[in-house]
Amino acid sequence: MHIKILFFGSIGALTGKNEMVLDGVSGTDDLKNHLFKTWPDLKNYTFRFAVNQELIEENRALKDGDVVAIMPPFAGG
Amino acid sequence: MAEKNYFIDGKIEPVFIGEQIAGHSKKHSIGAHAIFLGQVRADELDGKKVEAIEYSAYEEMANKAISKIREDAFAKWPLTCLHIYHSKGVVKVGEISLFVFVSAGHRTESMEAMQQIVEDLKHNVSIWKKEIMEDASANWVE
Repeated sequence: MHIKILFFGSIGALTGKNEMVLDGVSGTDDLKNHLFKTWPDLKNYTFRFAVNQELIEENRALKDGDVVAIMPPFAGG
Repeated sequence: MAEKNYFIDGKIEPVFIGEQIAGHSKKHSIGAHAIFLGQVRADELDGKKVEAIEYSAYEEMANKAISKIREDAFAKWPLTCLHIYHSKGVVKVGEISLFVFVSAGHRTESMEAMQQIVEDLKHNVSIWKKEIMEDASANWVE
């Protein structure tokens, strides 16, 4: 199962990458824990997930081929 | 169908804005244009001045969100035209990074729509900005 993870804004700067592929994450809560283990400082960041470009509020189960964006607060204009 | 692209690489040229205005002279039902221009400001942080802003975006998602903002505006107000352009990449202090162009029969709807559209662009579109300071350090705006 491949999940593509995209990092944006300050979080891309923290992780040092724009994207990565993860195996074996069942949902966004699971993904969050995985990310916190890899980058503990991420706990100090405000961010939301978008799964396949849809903003989500609660845990969302993930399936093969899903694209999850990790997004800090928007700052357009 | 490919998603419409609202992004322009780098600054938005004043000449481009003028051309867009001229391009509407044949649309005779228009009585009012509202134009909003966002300009990069030299904010000061810890005694250092902002020299430029680097914009980045989740472009596919941002383009969809901007299309939705346009659809909502057309549904709410009797607008003739609505054009939105946003910079990506580096835009220096004093340069234009956002151009919103609302055209309608009358002033009230053009200005009401503009207020809502600019608010939505600031809060609902997956765009991020990094201030580049005069000493080359960076500050993410959130």
